[in-house]
Amino acid sequence: MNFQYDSYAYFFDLLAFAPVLLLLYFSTSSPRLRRLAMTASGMYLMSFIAPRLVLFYLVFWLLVFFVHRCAFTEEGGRRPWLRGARRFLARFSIVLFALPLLLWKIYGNGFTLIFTAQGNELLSLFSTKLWELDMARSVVIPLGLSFTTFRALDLVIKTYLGKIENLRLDEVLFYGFFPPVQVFGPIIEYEDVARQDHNPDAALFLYGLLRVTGGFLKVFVAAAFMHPHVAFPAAPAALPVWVLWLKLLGYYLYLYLNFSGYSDVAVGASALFGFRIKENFNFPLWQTNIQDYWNSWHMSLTHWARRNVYVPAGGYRAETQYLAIFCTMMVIALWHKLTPACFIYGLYHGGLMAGYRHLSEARDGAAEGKTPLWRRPAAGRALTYLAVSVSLPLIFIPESQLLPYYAALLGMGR
Amino acid sequence: MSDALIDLFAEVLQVDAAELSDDTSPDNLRQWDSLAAMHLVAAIEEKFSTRLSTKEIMKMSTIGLARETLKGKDIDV
Amino acid sequence: MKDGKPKLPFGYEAGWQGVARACLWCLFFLVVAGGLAPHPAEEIPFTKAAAGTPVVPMVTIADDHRLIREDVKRDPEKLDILWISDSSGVLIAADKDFVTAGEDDTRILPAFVARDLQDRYGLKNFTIHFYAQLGMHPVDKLIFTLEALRRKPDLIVMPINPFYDFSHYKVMGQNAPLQLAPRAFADRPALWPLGLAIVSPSNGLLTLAGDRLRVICEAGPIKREVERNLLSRFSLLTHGNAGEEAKFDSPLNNVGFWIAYELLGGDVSRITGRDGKPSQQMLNQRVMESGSPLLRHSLATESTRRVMDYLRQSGIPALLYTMPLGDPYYLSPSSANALGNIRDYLRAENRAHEKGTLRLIPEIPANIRRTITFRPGDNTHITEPGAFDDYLARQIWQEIGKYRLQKTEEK
Repeated sequence: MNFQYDSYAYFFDLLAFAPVLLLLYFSTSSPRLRRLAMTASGMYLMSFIAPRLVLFYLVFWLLVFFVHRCAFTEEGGRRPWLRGARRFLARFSIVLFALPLLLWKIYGNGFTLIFTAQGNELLSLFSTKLWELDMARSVVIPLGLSFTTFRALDLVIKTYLGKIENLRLDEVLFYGFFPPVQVFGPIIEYEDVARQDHNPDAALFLYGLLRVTGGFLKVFVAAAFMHPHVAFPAAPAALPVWVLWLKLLGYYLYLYLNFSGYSDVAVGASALFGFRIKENFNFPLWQTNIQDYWNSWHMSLTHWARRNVYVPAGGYRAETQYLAIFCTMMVIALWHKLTPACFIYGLYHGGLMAGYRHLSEARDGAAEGKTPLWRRPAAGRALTYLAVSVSLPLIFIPESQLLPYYAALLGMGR
Repeated sequence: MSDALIDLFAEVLQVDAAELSDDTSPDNLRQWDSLAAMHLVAAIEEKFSTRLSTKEIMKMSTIGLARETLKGKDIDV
Repeated sequence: MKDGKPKLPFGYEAGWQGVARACLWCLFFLVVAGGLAPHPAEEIPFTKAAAGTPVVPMVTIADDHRLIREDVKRDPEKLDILWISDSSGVLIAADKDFVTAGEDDTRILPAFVARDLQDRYGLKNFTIHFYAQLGMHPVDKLIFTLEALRRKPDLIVMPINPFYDFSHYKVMGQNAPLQLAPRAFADRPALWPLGLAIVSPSNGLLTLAGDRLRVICEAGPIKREVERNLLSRFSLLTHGNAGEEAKFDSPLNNVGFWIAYELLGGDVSRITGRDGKPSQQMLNQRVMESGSPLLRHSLATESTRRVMDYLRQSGIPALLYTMPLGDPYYLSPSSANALGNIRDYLRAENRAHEKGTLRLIPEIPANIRRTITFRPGDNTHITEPGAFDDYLARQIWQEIGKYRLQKTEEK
């Protein structure tokens, strides 16, 4: 059964449709109509993955809108029970919006099956033909669910903090169905797309085209041709150790090209419509320490985690900072998969980050002296590259094959 | 023009005050990393003799928002 | 970048003219790249099975966007039979299945029929253009039918699938021939809503671009070709890559999933055979029993009806035969009943349009059916055609006679 849906199909559709959408979007100066055009297009494009996803996300964002408008308002605040109910809804909403993602991460394929079957059955209430067409689509994971969840939680938390207030329904839906980042790419914040009243901009448009082209070259030329050479081998012990290491180091590069390529396409596609969304990568392979690596790899996720996990977990107080670091890295790690291997990945990177924090604090206090070799940029870069590379199998190799793989990497088990 | 809050940020982040504005945030200033953020909180609390709650700190994602939050606590910045 | 304006490389100042120029350059390079890229041969399934017969397989492998091979030109001197087929026209050796069978294990029904037409009926000067797709479903058939009509053959032959042509499950295949749909639907406004729902923007663009942007349209085959030629020289790193992607452990295919969940509420025992494995036959039976030619608001029945309507309107002779099935389908009262409904419906259609050029074969006669060897446990797919190919050849021969289609050999 095909659980895979290749994100490139979505991006191809997005770009093939972009000329039409650009005409629609810029033919009016009314932000409301522009939002409508963009939201409808987001749904239209998603329907080619599967119509059931459109229905699910529509319900999801309607709920987000409801919570945004009702949960945190102080109106009617004189009645304590109403305040209590709202506070409950506000707290509960975090769990509510994270729930589908959590269920998916916990139950995996089981969740995908139920989600697919139920979503499809719901469609039959609206239209027989839509229901039939949906059955012709693949049984797929709820594509874009983690990105959607992070976007929704961010909006809810910002509502709670009073930073975003009184959005209209079409504004929330626009944020939810913004086509360039629906299935892949940076986790945008509401502020990134809050204004839709700009004029077409040639510089931004050209920049967008360049980013899209560059992104596609990364994904379809560089990464695509690299993949068969760096993919994790099924029988690692049969390969010379140095080949295994070469493949592992190459895999990191491949991962970067693939992921950042798609992010480039998302950033570029947004720019075509005049939006400067936040970058997702900033030369992560060229960073000299682990903290800079995390500040430059999938930045939109780390920044999200910094805002919404690290700070609330007490990262801003000396006494709780290390706990906060571990909590943050664990969220980032377990976001990939809820498995013991990813838990180890979280511990590993949490440990590296905490160690680095400890060292830099110590260094801040120490007198300037001769820089030791390992702290020179070149050595830092090599060490960081290596440290990140060796943790990647924890995420990308099935658990049963992990031990044999690492053993083979160390030249054992032959 | 001297601005107490900007000066404080400049001092802790070790950047020129001219580079900072109310729109400065961790997203557009590399020096404002998580370690610096911790020092910032401590410095703000010390300088303005106040105690910031988690919610207030979560809100302070730009210098402007920090200013707004402090004003909300009747601190003139 | 504080003002939100990105910097362009080399300090370039962009204007709309510059944008237009950049787009044109982009197109130019894509076209040039298309000229430089290798021209991988179209991989045409069933080539071996058709060798030595007048059958010409026409459809490329699924990821080749060319889909219909371009090198075959119609010979006006020859009688042109266009045969659209799903897996019922493909005969796989009994010890193989559709996934594991190679070209050597595969035979095709039209090759048998073509030999019969030559040897028994003395038909000469004809070609059977074979449009086959494994898992062809109602919407796919509609698209292939319209494509067939565009080619104006002398006769069209196509099976009717009693399972999927009249049920909700699987109205189109995973590899639906969508790149043909825009062209096929263009002059039929009634099909535009369906086209909008199934033809994605990139399908549309690929159709528009055609071979002008072959570097995109043929990306899959070109990439394979380049990898074969170039990157195989660096074989060290690919050494030991035996790893196949982990597959989900369900033995059911995609259709099986929908049947299991939608039709059976997750109870797969009704499609599990005595050996504990999911049974293709039981699955088909359940699908057939759930459907009916009279289903309302269904894309499947609507597509099947449209296929018949468009064939009739075209005036091109067409023969649609209900695919033969093994006895077990007739032994189960519920599926025999479902088959009966389809037979009655097709008979009524024949009666209602007696004068038309479309002839439906509502059922393969039992004495013919019983000579066919079906795949064991499946009773749907044929391994040995018995007298069936001769039966079909006779039907085709009758149509040829009826419309005096035979071309005389000219010296």
